[in-house]
Amino acid sequence: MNTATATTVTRRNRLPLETRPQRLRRRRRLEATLGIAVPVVLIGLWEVAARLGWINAQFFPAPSSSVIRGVEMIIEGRLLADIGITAYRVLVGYVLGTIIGFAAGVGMGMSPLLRKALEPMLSALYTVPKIAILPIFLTIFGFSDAPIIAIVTVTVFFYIWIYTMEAVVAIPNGYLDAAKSFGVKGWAMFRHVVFPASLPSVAVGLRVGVGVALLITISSEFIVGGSGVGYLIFNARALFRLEEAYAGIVTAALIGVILQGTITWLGHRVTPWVVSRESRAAGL
Amino acid sequence: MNTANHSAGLADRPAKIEVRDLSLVFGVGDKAVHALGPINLSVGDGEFLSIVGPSGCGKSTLTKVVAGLLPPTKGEVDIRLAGTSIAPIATVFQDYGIFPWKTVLENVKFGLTVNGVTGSEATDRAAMWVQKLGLAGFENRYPSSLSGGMQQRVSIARALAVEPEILLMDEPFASLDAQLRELLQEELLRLHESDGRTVLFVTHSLEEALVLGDRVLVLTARPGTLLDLKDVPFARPRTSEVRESREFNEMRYELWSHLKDQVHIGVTGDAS
Ligand SMILES: Nc1ncnc2c1ncn2[C@@H]1O[C@H](COP(=O)(O)OP(=O)(O)OP(=O)(O)O)[C@@H](O)[C@H]1O
Ligand SMILES: [Mg+2]
Repeated sequence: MNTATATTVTRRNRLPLETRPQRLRRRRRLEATLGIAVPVVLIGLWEVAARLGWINAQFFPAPSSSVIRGVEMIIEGRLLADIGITAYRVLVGYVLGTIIGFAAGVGMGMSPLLRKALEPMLSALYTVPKIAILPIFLTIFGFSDAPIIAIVTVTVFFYIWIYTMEAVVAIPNGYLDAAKSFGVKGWAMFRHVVFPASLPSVAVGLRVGVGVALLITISSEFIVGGSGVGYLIFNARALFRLEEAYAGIVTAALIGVILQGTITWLGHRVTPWVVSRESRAAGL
Repeated sequence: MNTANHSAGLADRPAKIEVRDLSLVFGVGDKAVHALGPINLSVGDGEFLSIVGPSGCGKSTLTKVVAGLLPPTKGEVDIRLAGTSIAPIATVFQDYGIFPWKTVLENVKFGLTVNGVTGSEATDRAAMWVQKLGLAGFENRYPSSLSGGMQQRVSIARALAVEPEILLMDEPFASLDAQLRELLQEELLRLHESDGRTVLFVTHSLEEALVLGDRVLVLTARPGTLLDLKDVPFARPRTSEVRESREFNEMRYELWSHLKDQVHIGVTGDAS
């Protein structure tokens, strides 16, 4: 026999209602502060360690010296030119890959026959590490922007294709039936149902794709050479100017952050009905 | 619109929907599910036909065949359309089928937009139905922020906005609370009595079937075939107060005693 004890459990908001927004704001501020403070402290540690000789400054030059070198490179005009070239390659390849991938994804998602015809082949090609095709593109296009843009296009294509196709296939029958019951088919079906229904998933594909597009561009620039942020980093290594390499790495990271941020923002803008978990919990 | 002999005159009316030897089988071979039929049925122009039957007997399947979403396996369905409405047939689905990516107003406007009614005319019409279904103030919300009952009302508004010749409703009030349910039943009665639209109304509630219908179709357990087709004698215009009468309760009891065995078969799969 166990002795039972009766208890009363009360569910209530621990804070008076009027302080909730305040608490939320304070929480946001803490989150933002932590997000900035942690990397700042780590970089500060690195700076101190490099200056005091705790770590080999040749491999890990003090962050301040990389920043100074970066500013010099901007003044020389080299860095901005390289950023422009890399951004151009990423964006052209990204846009081309997105257009082709989306078209293929919608087509194969809507037509089972097309899916049966193309999916085995594309799935097999999907597993090929895309960078492995670079030598072929180099042979075809020569040393120029073209082989890099081509390989970015191919890479992005696969991401967008898969995300789009899976989303279109997964559209619940109820939505299609509802539209069909009003006599909708063809283009109107695409515009009112297939496109918006697949958009949240396509937005995820776009977000993943942009990071990979940058990765492929930078690594292709290592190999193709001549220009771009990737070449800048690779070349700095050859000349043993690691501050320059770090400046290049930070630049590449910044390009990535800006691209990713823009795509994420755009994705939210075009899918306003997708409510994030956080804002739902906050009752917004 | 006539009133007292509304249901008595049904036999003389031309058939709006003619179901002949309809059977529907899902899948083939071992996995085949005989969902419906064979069933024969004639629905008059302007008739309100309530459909009841045990769960899984093919009620939704029947409405989908009429809606043109499922091709019959055998037999056929003739639908005589006058071509006078924006969309000839509109459906309120059991699981709503409203679009999460459209706002309330856009959802209600949908049937209009895709059938060539656009601009301010579409907006005005949609706004009127939003109002009628008590959704005013929520026009620009997305469905995810609405309750289940509100989502269902969006679905009803979307169907009514195209002023269809035939309205198919698959358990439209199932997710509503009792009060709202009665309110919308009244509203639907008034609508039906003023515009004489043909309605197929699937429900689990015998009471609802009797309050609303000119006739009640009772289906057997799967595969659904005609078990009973009852005329509902209550005069129109009707209010939901008919449910207080003795006659009403006798009819309900009679329908239930028919249906009870079928529900049992539906659940246990055995006819004993
Ligand atoms: N797409 C489908 N594929 C295979 N079987 C199906 C499909 N849709 C329905 N069925 C089957 O057909 C039968 C009838 O289904 P239906 O949805 O018409 O029943 P219902 O009378 O509407 O039931 P409920 O009252 O629970 O809504 C069920 O046994 C169901 O399992
Ligand atoms: Mg059903």
